[in-house]
Amino acid sequence: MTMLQQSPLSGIAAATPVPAPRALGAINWVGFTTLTKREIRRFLKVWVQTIAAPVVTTLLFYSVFALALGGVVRMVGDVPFLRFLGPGLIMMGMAQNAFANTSSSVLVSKVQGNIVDVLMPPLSPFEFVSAFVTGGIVRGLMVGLVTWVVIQLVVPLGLHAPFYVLFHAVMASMLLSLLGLIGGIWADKFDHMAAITNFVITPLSFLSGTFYTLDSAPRFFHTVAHVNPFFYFIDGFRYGFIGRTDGTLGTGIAVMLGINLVLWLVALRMVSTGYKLKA
Amino acid sequence: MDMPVDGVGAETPLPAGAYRPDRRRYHGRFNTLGFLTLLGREIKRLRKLAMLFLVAPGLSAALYFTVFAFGLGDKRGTPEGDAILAFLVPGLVTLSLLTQSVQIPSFSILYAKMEGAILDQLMAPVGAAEMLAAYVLSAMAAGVASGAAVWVGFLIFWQAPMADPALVLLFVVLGSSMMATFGVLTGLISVKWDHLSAAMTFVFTPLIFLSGLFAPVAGMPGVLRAIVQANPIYYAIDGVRIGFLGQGQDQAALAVLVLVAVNVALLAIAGTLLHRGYRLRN
Repeated sequence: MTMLQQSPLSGIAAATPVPAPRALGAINWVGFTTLTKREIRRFLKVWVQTIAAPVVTTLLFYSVFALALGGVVRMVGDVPFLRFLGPGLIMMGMAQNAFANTSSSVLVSKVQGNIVDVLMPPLSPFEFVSAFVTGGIVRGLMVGLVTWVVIQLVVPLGLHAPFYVLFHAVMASMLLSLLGLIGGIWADKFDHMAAITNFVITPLSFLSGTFYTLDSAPRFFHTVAHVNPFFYFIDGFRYGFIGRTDGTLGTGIAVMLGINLVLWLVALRMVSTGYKLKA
Repeated sequence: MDMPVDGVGAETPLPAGAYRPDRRRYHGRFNTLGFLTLLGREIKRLRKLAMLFLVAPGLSAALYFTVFAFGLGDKRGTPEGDAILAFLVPGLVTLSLLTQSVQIPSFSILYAKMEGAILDQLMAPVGAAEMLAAYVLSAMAAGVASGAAVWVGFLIFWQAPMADPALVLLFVVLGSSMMATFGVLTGLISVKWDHLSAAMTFVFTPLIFLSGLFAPVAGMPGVLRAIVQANPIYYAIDGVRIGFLGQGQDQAALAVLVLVAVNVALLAIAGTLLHRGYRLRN
């Protein structure tokens, strides 16, 4: 500042005050909210594909599976099968869309080259990751909310513990958003992303106890379910509706917090080193 | 070698690709060479997509099957439970047959339109009949390969006896050609990727799922049964299932009739649109 004021142009500098560098503070709120808004508007603009399509698919699954797996009369424990199935399918839709939101956003930006638009501004890795993850969570919650409202109109699902519903919805959407972000940063082509979706996300969401209670599955699939994070968040989410679990809620919450923490650290590390982003 | 026209030195041959007015090719009514070339290109495309249309549908069929097997609850392992699973097998085979048959040509046509590569075949002396035949046959090949992969998977890991292979083949051909023609139409009508994915999500997936794929029509409530029976895909799935399980042959004649009628109508529409160059030449 003093250097500028003593320069030969000091007359002009005195007339037009030198702009001070912008102080961003500990968190660049403007940057964070701007990127978050972009992430949300990005999917809202094509809501037919990002909200309506998954809702229709979930409802289709619901009707088909309800019809095929015994329908109105069947009970799982003391809960009608339709009430058992609903929460799991809502959670599946939320999780898959949270993943799709961040992964497609990052990958499309990388392929089109406009990823520099978010790398150049003064955004810290934490702000960067938070903004993307918020976008994914908002999409997941919106898909879940719309699906829930529609199913509720036909089959009242009940609400046993709203806190558990909200907690598991946010945690699961966050987990999948982080996975999507990491996957999007890692992938080079759309084929890679399709492979992750087909061979990792879909199997995990199907073998999670959405459609069946673990009591009825063979021993081996018990083990598979217990190492599958989808199992814990579907189970906990369902508990919020029907008040019945397959696992233990405490373990589930600990597992989800632990995985989320690890994924946050991985994502932050990737963004701060610029892995496959700045190369 | 053709002779030079106006004495431009007999020793300099014309460069490759130069206009030679005396060399006229006659293609006849159906340009077999053009058809085979286009078919060959589409098949080569398929080879690159093998992961997409062989492995992924196989995996999703396995997932559906697993989920249903566990979802049976107490019925698992009983004759009743086995009957439900046996009912499911032809449905899952047909699911991947039909899904791939409709996806492959719609994607190929829209991609060619978006990239402008469609010009390559619009410029060539390849008519509507040749194009339609090439697209439909290659899509049927993809569908059949995909369905066969699922079937072989069931043969290895569970059981998939086929009571009447000839009947299965008949319905596989009719069903996949119907879906392939639907795919050609979707590709022609779509202008953006959004249109294609909307058609898949809001039209074809519901049609395929609401077709008695997972549950017998007999057990459905009245309204739903009427909807399912108005769905042409129901007849393809039902036909394949009749061939697999060897039950309900009295339905087969009606199914053949419906499928042939739908096929003829769709092929006529697609042929007309291709001939007019609908959303291709403008």
